[in-house]
Amino acid sequence: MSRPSKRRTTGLTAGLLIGPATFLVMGALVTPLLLLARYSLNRYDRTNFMVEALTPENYLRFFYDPFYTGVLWTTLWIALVTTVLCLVLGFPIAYRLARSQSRWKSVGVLLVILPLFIGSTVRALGWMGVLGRGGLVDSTVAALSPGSSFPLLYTPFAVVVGILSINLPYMVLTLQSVIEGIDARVEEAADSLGADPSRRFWHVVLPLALPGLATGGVLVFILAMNAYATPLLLGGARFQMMAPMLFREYAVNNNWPFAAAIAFILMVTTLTLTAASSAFVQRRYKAA
Amino acid sequence: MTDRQPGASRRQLLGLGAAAAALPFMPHVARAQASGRLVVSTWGGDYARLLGSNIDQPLLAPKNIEVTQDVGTEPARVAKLIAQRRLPRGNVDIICAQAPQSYDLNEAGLLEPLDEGKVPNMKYVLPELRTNYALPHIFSPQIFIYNTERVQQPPTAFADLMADRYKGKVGLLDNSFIYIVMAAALAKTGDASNFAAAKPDLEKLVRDGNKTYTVTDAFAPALRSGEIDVGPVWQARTIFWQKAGVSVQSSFPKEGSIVYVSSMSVPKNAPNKTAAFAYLNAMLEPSAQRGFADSMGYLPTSSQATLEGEVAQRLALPEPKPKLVAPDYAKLAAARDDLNDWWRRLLDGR
Repeated sequence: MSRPSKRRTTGLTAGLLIGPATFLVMGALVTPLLLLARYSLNRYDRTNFMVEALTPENYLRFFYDPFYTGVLWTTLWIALVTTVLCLVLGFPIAYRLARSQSRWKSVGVLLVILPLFIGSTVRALGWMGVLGRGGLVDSTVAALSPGSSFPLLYTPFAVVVGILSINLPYMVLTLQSVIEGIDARVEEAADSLGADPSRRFWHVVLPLALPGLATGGVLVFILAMNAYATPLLLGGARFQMMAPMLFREYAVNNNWPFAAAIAFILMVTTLTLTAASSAFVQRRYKAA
Repeated sequence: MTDRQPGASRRQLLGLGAAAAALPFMPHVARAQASGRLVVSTWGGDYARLLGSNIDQPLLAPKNIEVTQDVGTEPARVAKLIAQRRLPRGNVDIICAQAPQSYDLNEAGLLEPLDEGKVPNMKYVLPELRTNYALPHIFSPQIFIYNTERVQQPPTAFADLMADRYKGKVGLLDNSFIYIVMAAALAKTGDASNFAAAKPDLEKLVRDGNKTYTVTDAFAPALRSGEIDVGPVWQARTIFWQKAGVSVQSSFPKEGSIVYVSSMSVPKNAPNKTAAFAYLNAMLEPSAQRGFADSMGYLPTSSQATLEGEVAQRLALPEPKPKLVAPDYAKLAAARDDLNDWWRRLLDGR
């Protein structure tokens, strides 16, 4: 058999192999997204639910109303705060796990993974027990100083803690694998050349772990932007984030076009920030 | 030739795979055509279980009607119905929904008209709950729930909730705020649909630092811990939480109680309408109605379903009988979007 025909066969086989997956992604992800984009340009009607139209009014309504943009800002800052906290708290744990030679290392990894076995709603309910009035924190405060009360439930703090507890394992696992890929001898070399631990961290470990930090950061940022159960259960009715608002528009108001527009705004905001941070890290990485 | 052989078989495999993947989207092919198969779109949990034990097994199985439950949240199930609206044949025979939602579905032209010819037991439905598009299944009046350990003087009118003694201690359920608006309107003007008149009272309640809850089940721990002392909820909830050991009691507003109605209806494109009508008829049978009163604390919607013994005592309405007010669903639907918008901004406080 001649070389070009062999290449053609290989190409055909590869095409056939990736075909079903591509077909599935197109059918299950891209087509619904296109449909959603189309819906977002329709008009809401109370009786018919949705009227075919090509109007930007749903997007304009969102951006011209400080109420909706306010919810977007709240979502953004909650996502950014939890991402930074995940990075700060996750790095030492990941570093310790990655460099550990102990036979307890697998137990440590298991402890990090274990919370992922419980659904986010159940975990939020657990936090309600800890942070609510009469909960663990409140009753401890009441025991230490009788008559006082310290309920933390239904505050932004509760939402940040809830999202943090859900996202931290993802960050630790991502960073751990990246740090394991950094040759320990590089750090030893830095030591032997007289770098103190902080210099070693800032000039050797951190630049090498930067792509991992970016991946982990992007992962937890996306998860936080789209959080639904945690803000609903721990934030309460007065605290608004994008995903619960989107669901309310779709489910309570039956306003599919506006819900579709909110979904798109949330998705585009998340993707834009993700792409921007990746581009920024990539440039820094090249410079480093 | 040898090169083409596996290619052909791969193609066949892919074809078979694609056909198998498409099967769930072709209900007529995938579903057996057995007569008597009925799909009930319902909430899960206790409600679904009680449908099974009070209606499906005792009343429909002997008629060879096999019931399948399509369990989900109401929004998801309603969305499915809306999405299927243009299909000549949908895959839901009965949809369980709250009465305002049923009204909306009927307005959109999605529901089959009902009459006593189709559902004979319809003649026993309590007249104030009766419509020709959805049959009420269970109902519960709105009461003031209060913690019996901390409240000596229970509220007897909506205005009491705004009294200083309850300031910051009133619980409001976000998911049924519209019913609270109606209660306030009824108290203030005698007309539950005078929503505008109720707004100042709700604004005061929210701004006074009273608590709002996104999920109904967060109400009981709040009542227990002392975060709240009172709040407008359904009578069925008091009974449910009493059973769970929470020290709570109901008091009825003297101006009257708005009622919550859970209803059932038949989509116009239901595949098995005859069985669906039989289901609705069975749902109104006294035995089926009593099962729900006993387990969930909801009142029967059929005049035939009288309660006896301990259940009757637990669900008894006080004397003189309080006025029960069914919402005007048409006015509610017309005002809903504005009310939702006003309520969200009020809670947000921005």
